[in-house]
Amino acid sequence: MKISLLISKEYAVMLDSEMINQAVKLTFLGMGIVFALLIVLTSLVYAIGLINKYELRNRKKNATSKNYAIAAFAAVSAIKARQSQKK
Amino acid sequence: MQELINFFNSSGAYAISWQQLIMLSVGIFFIYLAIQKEMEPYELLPIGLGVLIANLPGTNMLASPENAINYQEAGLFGIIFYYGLAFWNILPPIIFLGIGSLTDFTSLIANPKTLLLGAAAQIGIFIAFWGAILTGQFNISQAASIGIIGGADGPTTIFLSALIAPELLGITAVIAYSYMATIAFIQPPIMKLLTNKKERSIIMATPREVSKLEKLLLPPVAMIIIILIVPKSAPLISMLMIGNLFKESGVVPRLTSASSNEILNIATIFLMLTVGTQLSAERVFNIETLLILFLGLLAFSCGTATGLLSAKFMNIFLKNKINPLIGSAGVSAVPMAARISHHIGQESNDKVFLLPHAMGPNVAGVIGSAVVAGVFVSFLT
Repeated sequence: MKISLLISKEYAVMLDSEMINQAVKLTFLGMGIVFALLIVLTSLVYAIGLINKYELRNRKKNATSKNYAIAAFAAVSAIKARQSQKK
Repeated sequence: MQELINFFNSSGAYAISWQQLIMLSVGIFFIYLAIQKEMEPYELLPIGLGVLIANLPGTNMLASPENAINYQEAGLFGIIFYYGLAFWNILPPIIFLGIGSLTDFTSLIANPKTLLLGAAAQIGIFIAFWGAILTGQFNISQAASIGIIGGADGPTTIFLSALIAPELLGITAVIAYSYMATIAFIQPPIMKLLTNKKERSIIMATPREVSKLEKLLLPPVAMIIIILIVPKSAPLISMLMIGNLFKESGVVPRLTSASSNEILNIATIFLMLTVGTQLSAERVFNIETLLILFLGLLAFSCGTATGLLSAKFMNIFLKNKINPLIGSAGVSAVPMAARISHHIGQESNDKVFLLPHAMGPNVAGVIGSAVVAGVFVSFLT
């Protein structure tokens, strides 16, 4: 079926209704897919960011415990040094 | 004497038409813009040279191997066009490999919501698509091929046109690259019209640091998800992500270097020369070309506007406001669109530094337009 699109009194465009239907479908599906996909990707990038946050926290924790170990070692060596000085 | 006359009659100088002469001046104009004005020189220079070759009569350079019956009947650019684009369509994905190895997803990972701006800017594609349909001059595949100009991504435009409307390939590609070259004139008036000085002066916080793990995870995971949903976008998306993973892995510097230098450069030479050769006088001199020129501009402008307006819309819900100027970078045109956002921001407030923020929607625009192309291919082939 042909649809007549009146642009002005003198000019009208004949459009195929089947093509219009297909174009409507394509627009809604296309926009829908693009937005849905990019929303999924956005969430995914946030999730990757969370993994990174968790990894950073673990690394910080390890670093802190390493610092404690070094401090304890330094304290023990200081006590030992003082004891040997007393002797 | 007769032989001399016969030779002259068979020469190009005798056969040349006024339309071809105009196209020769167009080719020279492209070459001038590329060399003198440095406007997209990597594209406009070979395209300009291609236009010259296409409009010199009697060369047989464009003869397709498809129609050749005997040996040596196909022309050089006919062969490159046929195998590089029309039959195999391998040149745009190869260009995407190089783009991937040059792309940095850092700003996108640091601020993932900018991906949505890349999606919003694709609305321009559909507006131009409808514009083309409503003219009544184009079929649906041609309309899609015209709409994709709004993606402001040359290889994607070429990839899609070669698949669904090869007769428009040269003109859509050249219009896409021409508008990309003149984006600095197209976008700023729209950006200023749709934002006020207060909005343009919004200072965004410095993006957070992004770890190597994040940069390594994004390309393969994004590639798998996108291709699972839109398999027809695979040629572009897979090559983009492969190139990026080469770069981010840091373990294959030679492959990264080859992708971003030698391979990209070779593909650019053949692709752009071939695109230029598609601009023969008989293809250009018709009402359709003028319509495509207008629709391409409409697509670029609408993409810019929808990107900006989406950023303003997002600001209604955001605690830390984003500068709406970064929305216009969602039209792709990497990195010019991001640079324009930055410059317009600095004009309003010299403390505004938008470049790292605008690269997020800019890269998202590349992904978005490749996905739209994939959707068009899925439904129209």
